[in-house]
Amino acid sequence: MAVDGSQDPLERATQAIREEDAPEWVEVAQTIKSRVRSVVRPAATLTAFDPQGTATHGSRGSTLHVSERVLTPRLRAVIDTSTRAADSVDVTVTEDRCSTIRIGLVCTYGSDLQTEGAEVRAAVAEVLTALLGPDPAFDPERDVEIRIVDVVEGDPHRA
Amino acid sequence: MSSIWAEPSGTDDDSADHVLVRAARLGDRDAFDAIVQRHGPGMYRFALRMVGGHASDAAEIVQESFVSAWKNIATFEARSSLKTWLYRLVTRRAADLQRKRKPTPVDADFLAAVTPPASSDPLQSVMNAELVVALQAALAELTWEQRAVWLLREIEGMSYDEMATTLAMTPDSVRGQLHRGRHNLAERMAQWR
Repeated sequence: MAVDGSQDPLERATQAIREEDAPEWVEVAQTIKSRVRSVVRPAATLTAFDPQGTATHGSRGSTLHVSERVLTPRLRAVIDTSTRAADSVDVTVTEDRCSTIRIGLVCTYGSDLQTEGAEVRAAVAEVLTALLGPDPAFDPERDVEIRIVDVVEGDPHRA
Repeated sequence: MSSIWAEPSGTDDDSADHVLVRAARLGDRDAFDAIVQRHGPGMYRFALRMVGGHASDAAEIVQESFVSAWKNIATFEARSSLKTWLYRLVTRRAADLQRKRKPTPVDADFLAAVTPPASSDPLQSVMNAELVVALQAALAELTWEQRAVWLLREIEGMSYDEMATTLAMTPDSVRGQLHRGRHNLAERMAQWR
């Protein structure tokens, strides 16, 4: 440690404190990560539909709901590619149904933004159908809103 | 397994934080882990000195702060920097703890443990360790505001604006508290000249 004996004592002590280690931090950090993983963020639930577009299933009319917590990471996973990154994914839920999905995109400079948008819209529609089934009221062309929020040089994930 | 967020490099601190916040808002826990790794050590160091070296209190404060950050990261709108937002969470919890409890003396074990890294000169190491102990005791005698401002400036390297945001004070008030904190610490450390 570079501490000069001729320095002011307050300066020397301050410098020593700046440089000291806290070995217990490793354990504290592990506890934080474990606690965060056990936290359930509040999230809306979305009604799922059978292949015929009906929300009730079986003779007893049971329903199936999927948490927005499940949907959002899946959407992000299909949105992200080497030429684009999801900046935001906002799912609007109205009466337990997905009514709008607003996506903010960061794209690589030089990529075809129209194509990127079209691919995202198709990928989002595919995930929605896979997870929630075909909601007859949801129209991806109308209800998926895509905004290009930034165009960057290089990796859009690091922008 | 290494995380892709281990080194959000190629950008300055605020830009790297922006990338991590964006991912964490979308539910990426690895990105949030990277935030913990980037800012946690400083937050823990700050909390530890704010509560007189009581390690369990400092750990609890930082844990609660990060849990709150995870729950509310969707509401973080980058009007302030991520760093000031996180330190503000720590500051509030440290203040809450202080209000709940009677003043307690500086933890003796902590004083023994705050020995700085060994120098090549053993005598210098011993002197530095004694100075650190003296400074910790002097910090405990400052007012809460003076201690917070001094630590954020001198140890965590915050600007006046960052401190003002973190502590919900005006920059002028920050300057005043820092001036008094420095003066009081210098007086208490003068005997070590």
